[in-house]
Order: sequence, then C-alpha cells, then structure tokens
Amino acid sequence: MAEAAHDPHHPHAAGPSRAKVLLREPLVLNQRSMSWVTNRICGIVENPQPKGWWYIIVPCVALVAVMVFCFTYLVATGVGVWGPNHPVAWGWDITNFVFWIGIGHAGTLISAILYLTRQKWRTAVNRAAEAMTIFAVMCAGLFPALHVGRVWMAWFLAPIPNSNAIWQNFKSPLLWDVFAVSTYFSVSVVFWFLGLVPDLATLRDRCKPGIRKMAYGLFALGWRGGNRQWRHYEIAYGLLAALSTPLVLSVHTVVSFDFATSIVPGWHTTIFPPYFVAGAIFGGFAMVLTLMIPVRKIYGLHDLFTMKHIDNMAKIILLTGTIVGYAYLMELFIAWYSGSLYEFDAFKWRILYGPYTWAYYCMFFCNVIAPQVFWFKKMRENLLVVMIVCMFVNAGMWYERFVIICTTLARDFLPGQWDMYHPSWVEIWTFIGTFGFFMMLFLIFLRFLPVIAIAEIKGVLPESDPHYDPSFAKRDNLVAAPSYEGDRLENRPAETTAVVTNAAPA
Amino acid sequence: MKRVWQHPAEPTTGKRYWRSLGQLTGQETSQKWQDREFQDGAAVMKDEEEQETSRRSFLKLMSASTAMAGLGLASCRRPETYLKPYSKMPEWVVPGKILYYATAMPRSGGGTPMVVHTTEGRPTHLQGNKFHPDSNGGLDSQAQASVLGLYDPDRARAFSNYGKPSSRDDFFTFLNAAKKELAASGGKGFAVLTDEVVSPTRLRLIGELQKKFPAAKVYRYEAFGPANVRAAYTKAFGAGVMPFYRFDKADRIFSLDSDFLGLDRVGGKSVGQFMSGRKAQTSADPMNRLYAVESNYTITGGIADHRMRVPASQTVKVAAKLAALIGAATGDAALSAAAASVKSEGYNPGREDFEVWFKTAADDLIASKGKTIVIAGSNQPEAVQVLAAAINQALGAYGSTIELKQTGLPESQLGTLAELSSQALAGNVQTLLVISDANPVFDAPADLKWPAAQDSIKTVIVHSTRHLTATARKASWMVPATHYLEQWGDTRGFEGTYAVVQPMILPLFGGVSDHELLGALVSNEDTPPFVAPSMAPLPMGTVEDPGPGYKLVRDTFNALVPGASEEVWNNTLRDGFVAKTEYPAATTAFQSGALSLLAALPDAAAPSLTAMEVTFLPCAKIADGRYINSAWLQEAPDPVSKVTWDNAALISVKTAKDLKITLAAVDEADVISVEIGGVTRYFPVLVIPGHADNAVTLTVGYGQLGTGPEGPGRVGQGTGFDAYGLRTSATPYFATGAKVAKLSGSVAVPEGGSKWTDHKEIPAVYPIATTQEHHSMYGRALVREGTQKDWQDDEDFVMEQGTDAHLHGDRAEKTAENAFSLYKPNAGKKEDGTREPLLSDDLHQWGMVIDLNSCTGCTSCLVACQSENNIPVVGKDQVRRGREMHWIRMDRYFATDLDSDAALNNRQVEGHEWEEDEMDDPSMLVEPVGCQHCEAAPCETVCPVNATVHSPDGLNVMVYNRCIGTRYCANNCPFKARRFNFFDYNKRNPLVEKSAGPLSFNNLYAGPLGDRHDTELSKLQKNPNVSVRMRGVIEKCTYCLQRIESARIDARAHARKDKSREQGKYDETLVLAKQDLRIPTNGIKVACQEACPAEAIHFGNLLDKDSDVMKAKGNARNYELLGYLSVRARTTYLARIKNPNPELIKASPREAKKVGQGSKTRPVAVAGSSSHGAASH
Repeated sequence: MAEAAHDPHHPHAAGPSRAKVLLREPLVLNQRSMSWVTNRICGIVENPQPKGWWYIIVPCVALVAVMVFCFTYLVATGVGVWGPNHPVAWGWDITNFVFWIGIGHAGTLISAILYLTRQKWRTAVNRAAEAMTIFAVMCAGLFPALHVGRVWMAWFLAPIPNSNAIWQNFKSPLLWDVFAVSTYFSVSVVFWFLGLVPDLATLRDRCKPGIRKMAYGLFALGWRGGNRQWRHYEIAYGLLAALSTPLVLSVHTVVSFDFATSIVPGWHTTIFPPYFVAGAIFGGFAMVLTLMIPVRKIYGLHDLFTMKHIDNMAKIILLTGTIVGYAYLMELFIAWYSGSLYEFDAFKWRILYGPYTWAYYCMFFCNVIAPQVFWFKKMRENLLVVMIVCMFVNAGMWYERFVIICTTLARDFLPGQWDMYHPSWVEIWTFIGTFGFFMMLFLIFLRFLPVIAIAEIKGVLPESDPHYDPSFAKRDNLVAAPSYEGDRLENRPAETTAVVTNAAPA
Repeated sequence: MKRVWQHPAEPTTGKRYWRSLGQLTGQETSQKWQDREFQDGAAVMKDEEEQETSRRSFLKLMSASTAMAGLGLASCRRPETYLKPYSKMPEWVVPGKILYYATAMPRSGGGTPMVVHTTEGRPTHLQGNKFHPDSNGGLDSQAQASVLGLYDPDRARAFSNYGKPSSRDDFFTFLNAAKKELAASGGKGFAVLTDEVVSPTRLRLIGELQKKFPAAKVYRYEAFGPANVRAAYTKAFGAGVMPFYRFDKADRIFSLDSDFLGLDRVGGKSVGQFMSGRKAQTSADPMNRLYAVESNYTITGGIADHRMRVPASQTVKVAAKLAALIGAATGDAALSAAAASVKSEGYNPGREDFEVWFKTAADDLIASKGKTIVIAGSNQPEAVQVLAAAINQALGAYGSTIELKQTGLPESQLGTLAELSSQALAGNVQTLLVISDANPVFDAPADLKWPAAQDSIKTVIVHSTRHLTATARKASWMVPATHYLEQWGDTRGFEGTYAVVQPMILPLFGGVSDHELLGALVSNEDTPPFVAPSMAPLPMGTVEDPGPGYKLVRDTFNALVPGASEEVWNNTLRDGFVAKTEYPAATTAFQSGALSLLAALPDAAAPSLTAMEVTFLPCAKIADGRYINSAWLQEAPDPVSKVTWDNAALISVKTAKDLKITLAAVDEADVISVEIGGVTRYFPVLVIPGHADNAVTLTVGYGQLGTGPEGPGRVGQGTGFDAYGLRTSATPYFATGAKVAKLSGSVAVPEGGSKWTDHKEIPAVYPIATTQEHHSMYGRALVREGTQKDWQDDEDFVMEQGTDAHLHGDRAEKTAENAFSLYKPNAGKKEDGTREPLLSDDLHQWGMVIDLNSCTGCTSCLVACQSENNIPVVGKDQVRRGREMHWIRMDRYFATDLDSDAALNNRQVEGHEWEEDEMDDPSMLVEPVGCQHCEAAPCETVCPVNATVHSPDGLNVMVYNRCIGTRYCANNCPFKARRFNFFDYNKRNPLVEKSAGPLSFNNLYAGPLGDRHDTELSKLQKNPNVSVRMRGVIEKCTYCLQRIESARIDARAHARKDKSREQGKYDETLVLAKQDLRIPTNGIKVACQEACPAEAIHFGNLLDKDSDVMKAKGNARNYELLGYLSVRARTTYLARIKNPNPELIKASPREAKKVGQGSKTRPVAVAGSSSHGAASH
C-alpha cells in the first residue's frame, strides 16, 4: 500500500502507542461516513452508466446471440457439430462446464465460509463474488444441459415419475452432478438474494415513485430495517451461510467425481476432490479479481475495495495455486509409484509425448508458476501484475480442465482406438459466447443492483464499532487520500445525491 | 336434456322443512322452479329446445376451439402411419421372423454358397452355407456386402440405347432382329465377352451359342483372376487341370507372394482349413507352420510364422533358390535344372540371414515331405507357378495336400481380351455382347487400347449389374442385369460342387439375367413382350410362370442329375447344392517340360530407388473396382493399411525415408507421383512397416470417373485414385522401372487420365481417412502372443504378460475375480470349471471367446455385424473425425522385437523418427474389439439415466429409448467399444457435400436442412429385429440380442415337443423342468461368429460346460483384455501362438529376436521391473 509509510496505524509507524498497535488497517479508507457509502454504491445504480459499460455490453449481447445460434445449431443438427469423437467423447463441453463451475466457487466461499470465520474484509467483495457465482453457474449449466445427444430428453435426469417407470441411476456421478449443481445454484441464489434485501430496501427508499421503485420494493420484501427484522435477517443469513459452507466443498468434489470415480487412467485418482476444490477457489478468486479491479477503477470504489482486499485475495490465490501445484506433482508421483503401466503412460502421454503436451505446460505455468510472484508484496500491490496473474490463472484453470478431459481420453487403454480431438468452430464460438453471456449478466447486475453490500460494509465502518474512539478519526484523516469527484459531493444534501456520478476518479 | 328432479316423497310425520313460501303454499311455479335442474336465466335461448342446444353448442364451440388450438401443435407430433397387414398371408411369412434360403453367389474362380436371411420377402443378411462342401459357413466381407449391392440405388436399373432411355421390349425387338441377321451370317463378326464366373448354365448356353453361330467367338476377361495359374497348370498338367489346396492336411506351407488367406481366393474354405491346423487346444497340439515371402504386408504375412519381404518381381529368384535347395535334397534333377535356369543376379533383400533362412525353410519342407504346400500367388507369372508346381511335385504334395482336378472348362475355346481388342481394331467385330461386371474401358491394360477397340465395334451390348460404368457409357445398348439375389442361376464351387442360385425377390428394377439373355440369343423363337408378373412368387413356391431363367437352370440341372424327380430338385433348392458333383480328379502327371518357361523369363533387376517396382493389387474392399459403390466396403478399413474411402500407395519405412515422406502421417498423407513408361499417376502414400523396399503397392479399382449413377455411383464417386492407367498387358500384376517421387508442391492436374477429378490441382498432401492412427501397443499386453515353446515351457505364459505378470500366484489366482476383487475371492467357481452365475438367470449366461491365433483381421465380421445390426455408414469426413460406427472394430498392431519396442517406447513422441531396421521387419497382430459385456461394467455405473444396464443373462444392454447421450459410458469404457450417433446417420445422407456461397460442408452439418438418404431403397436391407438408432444415442455390440431372443423363444416353444420326442409320445400334461427351456448347446451363432471364415469367434452359454465357448475358455491361452481392471469381461481372447522353426531361431539372431517378443524369457514383467514402458507386450 503506497500510503503505508504514512499510515499512523501501521505497527512500524513512529510512536509505540497502544492504540496504534492494536488498530487494524481500516477496511474502508478515508473515514468514509455511512451516508457516503450509501451514496457511492447506490450512485452506481442510480446514475447513467459510464461509456465503458456500453462499450462492453454491446459486444457481449452480440456474443450472446452467437451463443444462442450455436446452441440452436447444435440441438437442431447433432453433437457432431462439435469436435468430440470416439475416444474423446467429451471435449470443450465438459471442459467449459468444469471451468465455469470452478469460477462459480469463490462466491459462496467468500459469502459463507469467510462470513462464518468472521473475515470482515469479505464485505467488500461478497456481493459481486456471489453474483459472479450465479452467473458462472448459469454458464456452466448450459454445457451439460446442451451437450447431451438428445436435449429434449434431458428431463430424464430429473427424478420425475414417468410412464416408463424407470428411475435414475443414483450410482452415476453425473446424476450427483445434477443435484449438486442445482442445489448449489439454488442455495447461492437464495443466499445472494437474502443478502440483497436490506440494500434493495435502501435503493427503494432512494427511488422516485415508479416502476423502479415498485420493482425494488417488491424484491425488498417490505424491509424496514427494524431491530426485529435485523435479528431475523442475521439468523437467516447465518443459517444459510452454514448451509452453503458444505456446498462449497461438495459441488466441486462432486464434479471431480465425474472423473475420479471413472476407471480411465488419468481420471481415476483419489486426489481429485481436494485438488478440484482448491483449484476452484483458486480460479474463482482470480475471476473475482479480474472483475473487481476494473469495477473498482471504473466506479471509483478505492475506499471500499481497498488494496488490502486485493492483497488478501492474492494471498489466497498463491495458497490455492500452490496446493494445485502440489496436486499436479502428487498425481505424477502416484502415477509412477502405483506401478500401473496405464496410469503412468497416461501421464507420459500428457506430459512428454502426446499431442497436447503444450496444453499441460500452459496449465502448469499459468497455475503454478505465475502465482508465485504473489510471494512478493510489491507484486501484490501492483494492480497490473495482479491482473496479469489473474488472467493467467483464468486461462490456466481452463487448460487444467482441458488437459484432464481431452488428453486423458485421447490416450487411454487401447492405442488402436486413439484419436485426436479438435474443437470445431461451433464449440469455440459457444465458449466465447458464454463469456459474453457471463459479462452481460454481470454488467446488468452492476446496472441494477448494488455491487457492494451496503448494509454489510457499514458494519465494518469505525462508527459501527461500539468501542470506537472518535479521536482516532482525526489521525485517520491524516491519510493522504486520493480525492474523487464523489467525495466533494459527500456533504451535499441528500436530495442531490442523485447527481453522484459514476465517473472515474480524477 | 331437461332433467326433472325426482324429489323423494314428503314425510308424513315429524317436521316439515321448506325452502320458500311458494313451496310451503304449494304454488305451481315454485314447484316447477324446484324441479328444474337449470333455472330460468341459466340458458338464454328462448325455447326449451334451444336452451338445450345452447349448452351443447357452448361445449361444441369450446371443443372446436380446443381442437383449433391443437391444430397448430399437431405438427409437433409424429404423423401416425399404419402398417398394412397382409390381406392374404403368404405361407411362412411371419413379420419379424427370418426365413432362410440357400443360394450361391456367382464369382470369379468359384461361386460362394450361402444362406440368405429374408424377412417379408427382403434379403437382409447373408451367411455361408456350411453344408456345401466348399464352405465352412464363413463368408468374406465382399460377399457379405453383396446384399447391399442388391439395394444399390445406382446399380443398373434401366435399358438404354446410346444413352437414351429405352425399354426391355425395345431391346428384345432389336435382339430378335439382330439374332436373325447373325444366324444368317453364321455369327460372323459377333463376339461375346464374359467374365470368369463359372456357371454350368452359362457354359452350356455359350456352347449352344457357338453351335448356332459357328463364326462367333467367345472371349473371357477379368482384370484379376486365376489366369496365370490356369495357364501354368494347363502347361504342367494339361488343359482344365487346376490345383485344390488342402491346407488342413499340410504341416508346412510356403507362400510365394500368395495372399491365400485374403485376396488370393483359392478355395471356399481354405482359411478355415488352414486355421484348423492352428487351433492349439493344448500346448502339445501340433501346429502347421507358414513361411511367407511377400512384397506388401498381407494378412497372410501377418499370420506367417516366418515372413520375408521380397519385391514381387524378385519372387521368382527366391522361388528358384528354394527350388534349388529342394531339388538338391530330393534329387529331383529337373527341378534343380529349372532352378538353375532362372536368370538371377543373386537377389538378397538385405537380410544377413537370407541364405540360412531359405536353407532352414527348405530343410523344414523336406523333413515334412508329403505334408507340404508351396503356393505361388496368382499375380506371379506362369513360370513361378510352374516352379511352385515342380517343388510341390518334388515334395510329393500332389495327391496328398494338393488335389488336382479336371475342371473340364473349355479353356481353349475362350479368347482373351487382347485377342478381342486386336480383332476389333482390325475391324473383324461388328457386334459385341459383354456379359460381365468387369469394366474394360476402365480396367483393361492401357496398351490394349480397349476404348478405341470398343469404339470400332458397331454394336456393343453391355449386360451388367453395375452402375453405368465407363464401358456401359460407351455401349450401344445397356442391359441391366439382375442381381444374383433376384435371378435363377447356378454356379460351381472351387472344387466343382454344383450350387443353384435361386431368386430371393423379384427383380427390383426389372433386369435380365445373363442366362435369360444368352437363352434369348440361342433360342430360335423370338422373345415375347414383357408381361409383369401378377404377384410376388415365393422362392420355393409354385408360380405359374417362373420365367425363362428357371427353365434354363432346370435344364442344366436335369442334364447334371439325369432323371431327377421334383423332390430331388426341391431338396437341391433346400440344400443349395447337389452333393458329389465336384470336379473329377485329374489323371495327368506333371510334365517337367513346362519348366522351360523359366529359362525364357528375362532377368528382372532388383528394384532400386530410381527404378522402383509397382505392384497392382485388387482392393481388399472393392476388389477390382466392381464394389466401388458399396458403402459398407468403402467404410470397412483395409485389413493392413486401415484406410477407408480411398486407396493409397503403400511403401516401406526405408523407402519412405529415402523419398522424404512424412512417416507418422496421421490425417494428411503425402502425395507421390508414380511414372511408368511415360504415364504418370498420383497417389497419397501410406507407410506400411514390413513392405518390401523400393517397391510401391497400388490397389486398383478406385478413381473411376463420373458422378452419381453416370459413373461409379453416389457412394463411389470421387473415391481414390486410378492405378489401372499404369498397367499394361505385359505388366498386369507388377511393373518395374517406375519413377516415384514425392510432390514438393501442388501440381497441375494432367490432361485426361488423372482421377483427381475434384481437385483443381493435385495437392502435395491429401486428407486420408484411416480408422487407426497408432500402430504400436506401446508395451501394453493387449494382443498376447508366444511361441509354442513358450507355452510348453510355461503353461501360464499368457498370464505372465502385461499387468498380469506383476501378480503373484498361478493362473487361477490371477484371474480378475480372484486377484482384484475385494469381496468375492474365488467366487462361484464350480468343480467343473463353470461359474456360479453372478446374475439371476441360471439357464443362460452368455460369453464369447475370440481366438487371436485364428483371426487374420480380414474384417468379414465387421461387415457381417454391419449387415445384421443396421449399423450406419458415416462417410469419409466422419471417419476422419474418428466417428465410424462399427460395433466390432479391427485393431491392428505392428510389433518389433523387444529392444526396438523399448526404444520406440522411449521415443513414442508423435512424429518420431523410425529406424527402418527396427520398423521394417515387424510382425503384425490383429485384435477384433467389440463390447466385452463386462459383468462389472464401468459404463453401467456412470449412466445417469439407467440407459445401459445388465440383463439377467449377462448382457450389457443398451436401452436406446432411454439414452439421452451424455456419452459418459463411452468415456468410461476401457475398450472404447461404444459408438455415439453424432448425427442422424440413418436419416441424413453423409455422402453428400453441400455448399452455401463460398462454404462447402458435409450434408450432415446442414442439420434439419440436410438431404435425407437418396432413396428409400437401402431401408429394405434393414433387419427389422434391430432398432434403427437416431442421433444422440449410444450404440454398441449387443451379442446379437435379437438372435438370442429368437432362440430363447424357439427353445420355449419347442420345449414340450422336444421333451415329448425324448419320451416317444406327445404328452399334453408333461411337466417341463426349467432346464428344458435352455437353448440347446451352441444353439446360437452371432453374426460375427457366423461370418468368420477362420472360426475364430466362439459364442455360447457359460453355464453349459459342453458349449464351444466353455471349451475355448478352458484353453490355457485364454486371457481377459485389460483384466487388471477387474471388469470381468464376458468376451475373452485366446493368445496368439506362433510356431517358428526352432532351427531357424537358432541360426538367425534376427528371427530369434522377432519371436522373442512373445517369449516369457524377456527380461521384463516377470521380474516386476519398474521399466513399465518396456513391460512386455
């Protein structure tokens, strides 16, 4: 943190004052008041979107159209328009599914596990992360739903009593997947929505009467912010957090079972569940940073989403990336140590001889080597480096799934049937299209819902602390803070808040 | 209607309850009001009647609007169609029940006796007629696929006159007039060209024709055939004498470039006979030994115990070497002299053990004197044939292992195409009748100038079943021939047994059979106008007029079996043949004078890089080109090169390196130019390890010009490249002095000859579709093999390979259920070797054994499965994408010795550099893989919708209706036996290329806008007992479930009768035990098993210890593919056993190394070495 040297709360700052030592780095900088927080966050929704928003959403909508076209073509014509073949029956479809599901992991981790462990820094990122989770799971869900050969029969996966009197096969990890993902999605949506209720009420209260007000009012569920309501809310939120926590672990564990419970060498490994969960958190955090760093910049949220947050998340990326690296190496060790020719060969083809070795090295570099720069604080503070590493991680996590799925299937038991897998243009555009879909949803989210949980972040303001000593405020003010356009509007009367713009900080 | 409530009577005591004052006072209106169901106002219509209709009309309107709403949605439903039942049921025809009829397929060399499966009058599937003396019940893939040829929409279907549509009546009007003219001139200027088909009726009619038109001449032509053998045996033994090899009696067989297990068909059951000498139930069983000298890798070479690659032109020299050794040892002076007379520059294919190889082989032959066969390939010149005959004579083979028979065929009366061509060019032929499926304009040797010769003939009548071939397009009259399944006819097997060809169906396109045409020609009466038959006759039924073909065949039969009653004829039709009608044994002796041919043979220099040798071979799939429009054959992979939908030039690794060909080409093959005598042709090239160096093998028949029916047909158009243009009458089988070069860039398409019709220019690389891209097992013990000695040394040598070698204990302890199961160690093994069923059916548990020692890899099972199970064809584009649908595929691996295999393993990088030494002398192993029907099937546990489940009798069954197509089962199948319908292959035609603007794409990719299959015709071939699969579902081998169910129904239906028969009287009250419902031992043959000419596939009931399959499972060679996975596969394999000559192994380190690969003595696996890469194969 550039300001660190001047930070009076820093332990190494001059003066061994007890208060100074005990004080943590504030989660909201610049002594922002509650009204500022409300104005700043609600302003994003209430003001016209910056040009950048439009520049991004228009191509995204176009990509969604491409995606819809690709899926329509797929369903109308057959899975053959994609690239899979006989040894490689799954290609980019399941690769993308696992990729998106993995991204959808960070949200609930941040909202549930960090909530239960009282990691207060989560308040700045949980809303966006949860939204990202939901959108990523939506993208993910498209693939398994549409990759099946007979999409119109996909309802067979649901345990609906039918005239054939056939029940689902509960031994199949794919069925577990259906339940795990749909449960995860529904719980995530409910959790996200519950967290939104007080903020929706805030937005409702700030709106002029009209459709907007009605809509916010409808979803705010009559929230008045009374003590009893808060009490119920907190209990419900805590319960949902507790319910979500096992889901964070279960979803990707179950997804990993798709592979781990099979007998294909390269898939059939017990390390997959923890490795997948770690990888998912890894990829999810990278995606949160990928989204939030630009949002922070565009909407001027530096005081709310601080370098401290980025630092924390970078550390998590470093940790989980290293776990993933350990898993990669352990896989190799076990492949050798198992003494199974087929297992060891699978890895030899994957790493040494096969046609996809480049993908393996891409994966290894992106996921294991690249995050190692986060050992250095300077690197964690350099937003450009953070963004680049996050991009690497995003790509690396996709490669990881590609390597696991495609290279394994392309070189399995009987060499007589080995074949190469090449994605078709339909597959490629479908994947690109889901990015458009994801971004479009996220941009719409930015446009209509508070990107940071207003009510929650107020809870980490100094004013919320009953033991808060206002005298610190003065010293806090010593912090040389960048001034934003919004700052100057801070002390304006409430009715003028609507003109708080979304312009980037000067 | 108006309803009046019938209120109960008012009680007379107690309280009175009333609803209104009106009721209380008993007003009439009130009473009426009470009685009415609907009060005033409920209906607005004025009178009673209208009130009623109002309510009804409301309902009517409602239902009408509902129906109208439904109209829009009605298209969402499948239109209902109704099957038309028979109004008069033909006898025996039960829908879904297969009727079997015996017939035979007339073919070059010898007809193929077969049994036809017909359903509702449609032939759907073919199998060999095992009762015929020339068949063991197996059927090669070309014969299998001929049923598809019947329904080929592009086959000859209409009469045409100079390309204009004509009619049967027009043609016969012309013929009636022409035959009067010809009769007047005694047939001057009239010629008939036939193929090699041996049909007694045809021969009889040709004889009559020659009597009627004495000046007419009959010629015979086929692009490939036994002409050289026939000529040589005529010289050596006299006219009409032909050899018939009894491989079952031979201990030592030496092949001189003969692919007698594959393309060189020398007998209807020679594969079976040869394999009967290699069945090896125990390690002590004697085995025959095969030495093979050949140019390209054939399936015969793959089976051989010792193989040496020698260019075809040099075969005469190695034959002479063998002859000299045998001549010296047997004291046969004539043979020695003949051997010495061969002009030889001491050819050596570059093997250090060349001399010792031949010496040892010759010694081995001599030691087995009287039990040997030396067979020369039909592509070898007469001289080599005679030399082989002399060796056989010296070794005393005639009379013991080779039978000489007097075929009595009128050889001398038949001219050759060369003679006909020169006669025609000289203007001596005015009318030519071509009765042949050969296509001389396309396939005649170039120097005969056949197209010009044909042009010089005034009237050419072509009678053929094929599409409009190049020959037919140039003809004056095109006469569509009937398919052999539509006509009466007859044929003889290789050894002469008479077989009747009987029609299975009325001619689909109203063709004329060859007999009918010749019959009309020799008849003194005019052929009457055509009258369509009034109803479909049953093949064996009584038909008022069975047609002229029937009478002609019946006349031949009556002459053959004098005084035969109607019953004898009917029995002949039932059996399909007349017993004891084989050719008589020849009485002539070997005339050593024939050996003088050898001295006349010029010395052929050994081929070099600058003057290469080119071998022309008929294709294993489309033969000489006549099956080019057969989609099954086009898509069946070549047994060795695995190429589909094209042909390719085949070369050795060393030659490829010399020519700078990309060795590990997978999808894109380099293109080479081949120039002989100024003619250049271009071919994509594939590297085949084990091919002779400096030699190129070209398969012919591809590259036929034209599109659609005006060419090779819609299936065959644009496939492959023409090699016939390089062929001359002097070099019909191989040519030397060819210049071969790799194209460095694209080349302009040369004028005329080239068949790169769909290319603007010839590219330097050509996309090729192969079904297999990897040729090494990479150290995995998939196909297990060993020598007989390995087996004798260690009874369980099979279990000492691969992962199994790492297990402790004896064989029993190593089986999957014992070694790997956590739960049921030694589960269910009973004393008698059978196993307690894991599943509930205690009558039947199905299993299969594939004997790799017998399997040649000929792909006949693959085509049989396709025919039986309605497996779609996917086209070249989809094969290139790895989406072929064959339920049983033929994996083929090359194997080098252990050192180089290990070396290869360490460098198994794709595109690795092969050392020619290590790669050019490999052995070839084949392994058919279909669904293994695992008891603990990995596919079943992963299917989320229970679409693949286990049946109580042990089948892994696929429920198509239930399948949604997640493809997880395919991923989890270790054998990759599951096939996914990526497109609607059965509905949309995969063979059409479409274009939209600049884009061109396969029809399949046009989705719902794509073309459907060209005609409904191919649907007639479908087996009605097997579902035709739609897109998006997985399919796979079902163990021919339909046959099992049919047998099960039969067993149940006949149980009472069978039991009564045992007891001697029919008893209604008989109590049947469960065991009585069991399908009889070996009562089912699955399609692949039935088709296998080598009898390599055993199928049956694992609970029946007398069954074939249990006997095979008891063989010590039995192993489970990937047994370590403990999936308990029901299909197991019997390891390959080689029987190498121990003397040769001692003498030649190279041969020792080659057999070492199956040997237990290899320094791996057993020791549990960690060198997994090398851990055996």
